[in-house]
Amino acid sequence: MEDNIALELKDVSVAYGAEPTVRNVSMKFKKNQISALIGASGSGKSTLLRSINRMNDGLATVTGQILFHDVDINRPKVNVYKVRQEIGMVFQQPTPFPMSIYENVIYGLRLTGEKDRRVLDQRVEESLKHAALWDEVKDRLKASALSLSGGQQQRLCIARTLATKPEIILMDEPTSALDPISTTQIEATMMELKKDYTIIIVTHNMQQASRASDWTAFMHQGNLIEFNQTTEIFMNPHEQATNDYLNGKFG
Amino acid sequence: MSDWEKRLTGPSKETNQERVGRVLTTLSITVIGLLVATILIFLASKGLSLFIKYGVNIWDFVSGTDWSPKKGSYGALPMIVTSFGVTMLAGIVALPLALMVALAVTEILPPAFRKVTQPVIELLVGIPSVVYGFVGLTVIIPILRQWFGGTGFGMLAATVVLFLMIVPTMVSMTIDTLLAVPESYRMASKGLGATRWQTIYRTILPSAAGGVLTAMIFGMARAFGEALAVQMVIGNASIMPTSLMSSAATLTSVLTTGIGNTVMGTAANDALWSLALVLLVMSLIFNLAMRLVNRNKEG
Repeated sequence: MEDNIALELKDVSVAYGAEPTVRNVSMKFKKNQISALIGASGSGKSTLLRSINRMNDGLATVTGQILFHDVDINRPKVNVYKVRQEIGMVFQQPTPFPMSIYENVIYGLRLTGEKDRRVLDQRVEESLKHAALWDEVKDRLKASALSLSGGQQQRLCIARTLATKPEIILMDEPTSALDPISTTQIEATMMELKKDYTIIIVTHNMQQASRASDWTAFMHQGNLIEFNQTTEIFMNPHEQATNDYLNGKFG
Repeated sequence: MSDWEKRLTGPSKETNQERVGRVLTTLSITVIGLLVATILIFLASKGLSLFIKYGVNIWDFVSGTDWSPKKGSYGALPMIVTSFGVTMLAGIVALPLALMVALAVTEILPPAFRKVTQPVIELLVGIPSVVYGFVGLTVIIPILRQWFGGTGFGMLAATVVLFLMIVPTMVSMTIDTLLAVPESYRMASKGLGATRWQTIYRTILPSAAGGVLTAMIFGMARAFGEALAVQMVIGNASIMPTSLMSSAATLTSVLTTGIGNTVMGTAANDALWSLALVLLVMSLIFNLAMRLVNRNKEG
């Protein structure tokens, strides 16, 4: 695996029943870059994303190789719990637990048995700062996470994902339930995060892909149609289907 | 009056419907309220007459251990202790089992399994208590007799029967509570690398704790008030139980056996009403506890 590649998919197919939802996708995600998966509803982009950190276990059959540090993590033998700590996930709806802000952030650390107060305190501050939420919540870390606004909750979920120190963060339409201001804040946060993390984001919002991502993959009916630098995809799409989608001919 | 005035302010089908609806619901709630008030007043006046009319000391009643109404001795403590004893034991044993079954059904087994188990469990909830008593009489008592000797009748038999009776109720309620935990908690926890067990005890159980406790109190309230099934297996000796195998009597079983054998208006009959009053007060306390638990959950 080349040095600048964080994750590689080889011939990945996903099927819920007999008919595959994602067909033979092969692609490489570059380190410290934001890659966006775009496509119409039902194109398989979310399904593909969820397969990367094995969230589809027990729900769908995923075939092909998913290479992370030269290890194929799409094998039964792989420790999926470890995989999910290395490849974190942020969901469409903010999903804070009904606990304090502090407890939410250290949830993943608690799972690994971390008890040292100093480590926990430090990681909470670090993660919340990274997710651009620290200044807003530093005085009320013991308050319930449910008291935060939607945008704050989503940034808390990002902080929570960061706290386990993953290398890759998967985001499944992270702003589709948020207002424009919160969306802008999340996008700004993503820009900051890519210094330290590799981000793969699924989005319905084409402006978001063009604004925030370095690379864009267009998926259509389970197939990867085109994957290129975002500027190239938006300015000069090579495939007719990509062009049609970007011009709103279907979607 | 102009046409528009009439059209916009005159009586109509809609306003009539509203009025009829309000009258009907108000009437219904009044009937229920009166019913509750009547029960409370009746039970209180009958239950207190032992102390007022016959001058029995309330303290002697709740702390005395000799229950011989015909000889003028009204110590209800054995029944109070037995009622609490069998209820607590049945509840404590039933809670972990009900919780495990509910977790298996909601979190571990495939959803198709739930479609079969849930109706079966709800069917068990609806079985009349006399059937449970009968099962106790014909199955459990012989087994206990074989294992521990003696007659087999007693507190242990009652505990087992009550346990069998309340487990389905508790499982059913616990399943509902667990299903009410948002799916997003499970997803998020899984996404952070939690195993299923970690997800259950770190996220699902804490957010379902209030409901699980309610299920337990509900089951125990049912056990506390059960008369028939208990009466069939407990041996009906109004004495302080000394062991799990000793015959005893609960508040309810003394009531069902005694109410036909005493004459209305006598002290012996009024003593039974006093027991009923104790039962009512205890039920109110169970009810209150349930509400408190739920209030804490919301707060």
